[in-house]
Amino acid sequence: MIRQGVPRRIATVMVAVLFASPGVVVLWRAASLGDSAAEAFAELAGPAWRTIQLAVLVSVSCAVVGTVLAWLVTATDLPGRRWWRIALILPIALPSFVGVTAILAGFTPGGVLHALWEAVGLEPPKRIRGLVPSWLLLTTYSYPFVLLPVSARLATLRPSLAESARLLGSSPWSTFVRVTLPQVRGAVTGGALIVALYVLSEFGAVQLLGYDTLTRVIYATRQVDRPRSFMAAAMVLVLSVVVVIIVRRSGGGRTVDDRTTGPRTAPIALRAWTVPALVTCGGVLAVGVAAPLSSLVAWAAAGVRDGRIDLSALTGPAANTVVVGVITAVVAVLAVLPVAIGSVRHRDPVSAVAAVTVVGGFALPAIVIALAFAVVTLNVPILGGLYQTLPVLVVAYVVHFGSQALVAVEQSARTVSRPLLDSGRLLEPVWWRRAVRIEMPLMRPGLVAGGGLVLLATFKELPATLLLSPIGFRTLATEVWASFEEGFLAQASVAAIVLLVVSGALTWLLVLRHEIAAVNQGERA
Amino acid sequence: MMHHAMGRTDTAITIERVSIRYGDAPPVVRDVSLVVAAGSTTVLLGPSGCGKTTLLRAIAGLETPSAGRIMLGDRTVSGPGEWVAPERRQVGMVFQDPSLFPHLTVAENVAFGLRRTGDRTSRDLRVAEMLELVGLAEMAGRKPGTLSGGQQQRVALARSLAPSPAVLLLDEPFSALDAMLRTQLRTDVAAIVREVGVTTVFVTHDQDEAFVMGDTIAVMHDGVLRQVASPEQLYRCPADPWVADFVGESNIVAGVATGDTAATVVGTVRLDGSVPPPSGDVDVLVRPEHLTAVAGGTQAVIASVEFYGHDARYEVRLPTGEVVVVREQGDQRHVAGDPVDLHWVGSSARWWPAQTDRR
Repeated sequence: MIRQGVPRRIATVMVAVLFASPGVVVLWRAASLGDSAAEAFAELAGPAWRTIQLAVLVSVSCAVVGTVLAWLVTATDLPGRRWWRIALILPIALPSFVGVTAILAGFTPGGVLHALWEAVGLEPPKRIRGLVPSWLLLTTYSYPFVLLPVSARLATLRPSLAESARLLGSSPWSTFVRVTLPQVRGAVTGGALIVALYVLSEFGAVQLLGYDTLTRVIYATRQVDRPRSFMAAAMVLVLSVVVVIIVRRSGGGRTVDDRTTGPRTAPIALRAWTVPALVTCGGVLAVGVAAPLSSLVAWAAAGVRDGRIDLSALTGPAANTVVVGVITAVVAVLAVLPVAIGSVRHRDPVSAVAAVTVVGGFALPAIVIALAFAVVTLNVPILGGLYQTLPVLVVAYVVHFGSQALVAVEQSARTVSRPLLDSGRLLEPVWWRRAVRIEMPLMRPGLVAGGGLVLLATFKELPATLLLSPIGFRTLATEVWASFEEGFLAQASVAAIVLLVVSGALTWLLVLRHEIAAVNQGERA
Repeated sequence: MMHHAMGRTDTAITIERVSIRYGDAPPVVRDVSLVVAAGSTTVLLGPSGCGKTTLLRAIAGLETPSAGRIMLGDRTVSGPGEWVAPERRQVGMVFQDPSLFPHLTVAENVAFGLRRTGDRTSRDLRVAEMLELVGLAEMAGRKPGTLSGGQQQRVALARSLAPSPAVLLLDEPFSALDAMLRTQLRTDVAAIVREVGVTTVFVTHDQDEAFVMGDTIAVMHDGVLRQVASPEQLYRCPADPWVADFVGESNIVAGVATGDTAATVVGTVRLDGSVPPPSGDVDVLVRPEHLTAVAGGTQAVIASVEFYGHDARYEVRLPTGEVVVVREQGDQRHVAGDPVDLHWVGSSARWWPAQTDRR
């Protein structure tokens, strides 16, 4: 869409530099620590080990739970499976720190979960802290990242593969293990990768649960102990890179059947397993959706009843959330556009490298990006005025969430095929008119979807906002956080509900709508 | 309908009044009865959507009939209150798409259905034997993705035959291949199936394929079995005009019968004498190769010509406005616009009492 390749290449290089800069800053600072490096490193062994432990546990349990649930809702005769297939995606709309906030609030005296425990004659847990609660709760809020790709894969798997296995004498279970599982392996590892990266970068949930991971160290020491902070950031960064490499390695090999299919096939009869399957699905939804929501609603209702809630205090944060989110979405789409067009249409090395840095931005935890930008704006004289201003916050968001836009924008760039561009060239000689008349209309859905994903991500973002937002600038996420820390459970719950409604509506538009359409289509075919 | 005692050992598959429906929709297969003799090849032939694949899948146990009974040999595999899971039916099946397990090698695919408890060497021998049978012995170590479509279907055939199934089901196995390959492969598969001697049910919408593969052809239309016959019988004596038109090209022309002949727009035609001679209005089946166009005529005009090398196909417009198809062996003798006369050169023609709504 740009006549000569030069402006596009310059833009691409600038984008690559921007996306690579936080990682470079962190590694460079960590490397130049000198003598204090060894000391910081030794002190961080514990948090590093806990981070690894949590990442491994959560991604493995998400892989198992997500795969089993995906199989139940796509391949079996689970009663109400169409309903389950949609409902089980819902925890994805709940930011993990909001979920944990809700659970903790629910178990404090006066909370609905506390009351429920007492009603059935159980002692409500006094302290919900440490590894096991972190593991369980993060699993319940993260398994949809496995469920979604795996059920998509299962739905497009040609039924004749499993049918062939059955006719060759395999039982349904053995068919699942010997034939179906190898086919969905890529989707499982891909989903587990995303979960592992989320856990490595998780801040809010582990902070609330008092589980000391590297991100928590970064947050605690960012102003008082810079060497330790940078060493911790460098460790998270290295761990993220290791995760990406491990999954790339194991997911390789072109042994997977990529052809998609249409014909329906008879669902596998669960028989005696129907009740355990229903209990599993119900249990997951109870912890992932029902418990946090009921807790939030109960606190909010109590707050409204005794007039403690100040709804007008939320209009500012709500407006801030939307405004900064929309700006970020637009900037992110514009930033990745030259990269996407380059990597899809021209396939030049510059674009390939830039695409890697953009994707790498997602692997970089938000708190690490925020730390890097905070330190750069504080220490580089000409940028000094930018510290804790909106532009820096937006740039940090863009670096962290740009990859979500990139995937969608690349997809939409693919809809403009080479023959289409060539015939456009013969019919409309002016390049910008071609862009307006041909490329934009075709790419618009993808651009909107990409922007929407970024918007949704910024709504739920916490640590970068905490570190980089201007003084007094609150989003819904930081409002939930601050109110909970100050003990205003009702206020925190109302803010959380507003956040959930807004992000839930966006999730509906971006994810669930398509999923429901796919389910309906699958049932009709 | 067949209600006599079943279970004779020379019967491999017995289908008794089977209907298959999904939900409240009209049945996809309606009240079909069919017997397949052991060691024979029966073709289910019909246009797409006629229910032939659904019936085949019901034999395999991949569909559940809503009524009727299916027996494999003496064993009822599906019937009122009776059900045998697909993995216990000893049925081999090759699907439309080569559904090889992409994560396994060719040899591992073929070995998939062999008992894993048995000793290794006998299994390896069986795999080698099967790959030899389909002519792919040297491909044992390859992954399916590196094979051509035709080779993949050969491997799928080897895989389904390896456990020595009682019945082999082929669901349009050549339809995803290009024309040249399809012709070669169907000849090979017909030979392999005959060599192994396995009872085979073959589903296709292609008449040529049906004629090459089938000892018996069962023609299906709209979920109903229209005719079961040998290929030759089917071509000569189709049960009704629809079958006549589906199996080979046909002209159905109006005629007035007197005695054993009928006067038609293509001249006088001798009527098939297997039933008492009719009198009055009849519909007569005139195959294109039973007509010849004589140049310099006055009755008809050549409307279009398709020359195939070994024969030529003419569409000929009659004075009534009707168009009939004529196929002549050898050289092309006419061009479009030529005036011709038509002559019937067959020995006898299939006929039906006239349809009242014909004109």
